[in-house]
Amino acid sequence: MLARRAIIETENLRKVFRIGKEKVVALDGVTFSVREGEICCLLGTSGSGKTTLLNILAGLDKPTSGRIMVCGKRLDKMNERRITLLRQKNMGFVFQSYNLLPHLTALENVAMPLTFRGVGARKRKKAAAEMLKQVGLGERMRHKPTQMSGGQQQRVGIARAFVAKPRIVFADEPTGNLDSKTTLEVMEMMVRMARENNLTLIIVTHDPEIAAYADNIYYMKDGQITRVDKENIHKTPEQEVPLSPREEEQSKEEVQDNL
Amino acid sequence: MKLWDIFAFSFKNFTRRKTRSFLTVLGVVIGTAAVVTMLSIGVGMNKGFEDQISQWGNLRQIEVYENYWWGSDSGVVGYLDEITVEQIRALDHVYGVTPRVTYYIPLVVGRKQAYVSLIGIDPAEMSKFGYDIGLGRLLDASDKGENNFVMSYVVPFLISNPKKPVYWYEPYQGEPHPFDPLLEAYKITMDSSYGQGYQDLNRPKPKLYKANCVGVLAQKPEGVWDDNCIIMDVDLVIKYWEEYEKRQGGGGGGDIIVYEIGIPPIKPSPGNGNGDDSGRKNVYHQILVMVDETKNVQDVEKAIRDMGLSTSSSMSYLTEMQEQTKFLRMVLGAIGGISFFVAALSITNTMIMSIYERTREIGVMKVIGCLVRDVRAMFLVEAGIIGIVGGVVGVGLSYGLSALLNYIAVNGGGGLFGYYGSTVVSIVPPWLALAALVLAATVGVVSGLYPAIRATRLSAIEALGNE
Repeated sequence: MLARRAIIETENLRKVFRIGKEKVVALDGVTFSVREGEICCLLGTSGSGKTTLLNILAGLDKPTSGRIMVCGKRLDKMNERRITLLRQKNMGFVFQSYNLLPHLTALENVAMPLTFRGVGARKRKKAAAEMLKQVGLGERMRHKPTQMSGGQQQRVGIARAFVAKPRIVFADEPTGNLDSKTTLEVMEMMVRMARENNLTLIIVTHDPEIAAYADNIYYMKDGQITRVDKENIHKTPEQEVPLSPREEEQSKEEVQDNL
Repeated sequence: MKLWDIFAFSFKNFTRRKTRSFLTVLGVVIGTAAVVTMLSIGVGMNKGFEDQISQWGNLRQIEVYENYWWGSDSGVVGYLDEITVEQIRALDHVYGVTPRVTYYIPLVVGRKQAYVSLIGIDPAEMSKFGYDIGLGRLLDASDKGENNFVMSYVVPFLISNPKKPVYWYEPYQGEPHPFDPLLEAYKITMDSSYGQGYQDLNRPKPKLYKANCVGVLAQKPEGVWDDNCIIMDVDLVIKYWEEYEKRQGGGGGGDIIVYEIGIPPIKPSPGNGNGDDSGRKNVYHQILVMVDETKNVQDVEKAIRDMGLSTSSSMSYLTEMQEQTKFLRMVLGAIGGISFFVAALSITNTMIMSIYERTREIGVMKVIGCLVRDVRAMFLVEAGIIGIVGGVVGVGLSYGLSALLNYIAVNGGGGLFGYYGSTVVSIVPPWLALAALVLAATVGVVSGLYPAIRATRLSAIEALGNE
C-alpha cells in the first residue's frame, strides 16, 4: 500500500467564504493525501467543511489559497473547461439525493457520463446495460427514476458513477436518504466495485458506521482535518463522535446561528 | 458531446413539458402566420396592380412621344424619326424598337366594310412585341414594303354593311369567324368618309389599295378589350397617307384619331423649330420600345427622355402605384412583426422558466462532466426547435389563411378586399415562406441566447445545494 502513488494531495488548503461582511473560514489549512485505490472517508458534522473540501477536490470550487494535485494535475491552476474534461475522464459522483434526470430512463441516466464524453450510442448503451446488471437492476433499465425506490435510484446513481471507469469516485452522504438495510447494501456494493476496479473512493459522511468501510478516516471539524485510527473511531479527538440525530440537528442550528 | 446527442437531449426537453412547449410554439405559429399573411396581402396587392396594368399593355414596353413641353431638362429636342429609332436601338437593355403610326380607316371587303385602326410598324420587329398569333403568321422582315397585314381577332365580326354598321362586337370565347379571314380579299382606303353614301364632289374620289391578310391575332381573354386594328408595314402606311394628303391638296390630314388613354392627340409635325436639326421632323406618331427585363424599364425610359422625348410605360404607372401603397404594406408588415416580437419574448420567458426548473439538472450535468459549451448548445437548440416547429406550422397556417382570404374575396367579400377589381388578395410566394422559416428559426435561437448564457453561468455547487 505504501508503494502506491498519491492520487490526491493537498497542501495547506484554505477556503474563506464571505457572507455579507462576515468572513467564514470553511477550510483552515487542510493538508492530506489519498493514495490510488484507497477508500477514504471524510467524517464530520455539517458545517465542518467536509463538503467544501469535497467540492474543491472535485474541482467544483477553488481554494482561497493552498495547493491541490489531483491525478497529477494542479487543479487550482486549471481553467473551468480543462477541469470539466478532467472530471469527465477521471471522476465519478454519487449524491445523497441521487440526482438522476427524471425524464431519462435508468439506462439513459447511467449512459450520461459517456454521452458527455462523446461515446457513440450503441457503445454507451452496452456499457450502461452491463453496469446496471452489476448493480442488480438488469430488469429495470427502461424505468424512470420516479418508478423506482430510493435504494434502486441510488444503485442507478452508483452505476452512473462507475460506468465511465473513473479513477476516483466521490460519494457525498451516499446513504443519507436510505434506511439501514439499504444503506448496508449500497455501501457494500460501492466498496466492492471500488476494490474490483482498484479505484479510489472518497466518501463524505457524518455517520461513523459508514466510516467503518474505509481504509483511512479523516475527521473534520472547524475546517481542520485530523486522521483517525479505525480502532479509535468511537474515541475521536472530540469524543463521542457518533452524534445522535437530535444532536445532529442541534449542531446544524448552531452552524446556522454562527452564519 | 456529439451533435446528435445534443439534439436528442434538447428534443427530449422540448417534449417534456408538453403544455408549455405547445403554448410557446403556438406563440411562434401566430407570429409567423401574422407576418406571412400580412405580407402576402402586400404581395397580392402588388400582383393585383401588375395584372391590372399588364392588361393595358406589356410591362416591358415603353411608348415614346414627341415632347410637347419645352424639350428635356438639357434643352435637347428629339424627333420621332429613323435616326431616333436607331439611337434607341443602340441603348443598353433595348430588346426591340419600332416606329408606329395610327390612322382610323375603313377596311373594305366587297360591299361591306369596318372601321379599324390601321397601325404601321416595322414588320421585322413585330415578333418582339408580344403579339399572340391565332391564325396564319406575324409580320416579319419579308413584309417590308408589302401590302400584307395582320388583324386582331374581332375585326371580321365588324365587317358589315355601311348602312347598318357594326361598331362594337364582343365575340364569346372561341366564337368562330363568319368567314375565313386569311382567304378574303381586302381593300383599304385612307379616306374615312368612304362608304358613307355621300361624296364631297370637291374632293377627289377615295383611292382603294389592295391588302392581303397573312395572320389573325389570338383572341383576348374574357373581359379584356380587344382593339379592332390591322397592322402592316409602317413605310407603306406613311406612303398611302402622303398620297392621300397630296390628293386632298396637302391641306387636310384631319382624320387621325388617337384613342389611347391619357395621351394627347398626335400628328406628325415639323419639329419644334429649334433650327439646328436641319431637315429633321417627326415622321412617326410614336416609337415603341421593348426592354429586355422589367427592372431595366426605368433606366431605358430615362435615357430616352434625355434625348428630348416624352415616354410613358405601364411599368412607371406600376412603380407609382406601388410607391403609393408602400406605407400601407409597411404597416401590415409591422403588425405582423409585433406579433413575432411577442412570440420571441415568450420563447425567452419559457426558456428562463425552464432553466429555473432545471437548475439542479444543469448542475448535475456539469458535475458529471458536461462542458459549458454543450450546456449552452442544448438550450440554444431547444429554443431553435421551438422556432422551427412554430415556423413550419405558422407557414402552413398562413397558406390556409391566404386561401381563405382569397375565397372570401371571390365569394362576395370582393368589395372589401379587391384592389382595382382583382380577386386575388393574398399571395404567399415561395421566397416569403422560406424567409419566414429562416426568420422563425433565427428568432428562436436569438431568444434562447440569453437563457442559454444564464444556464452556463449557473454554479454547479449552488445548483446541487438547493435540496
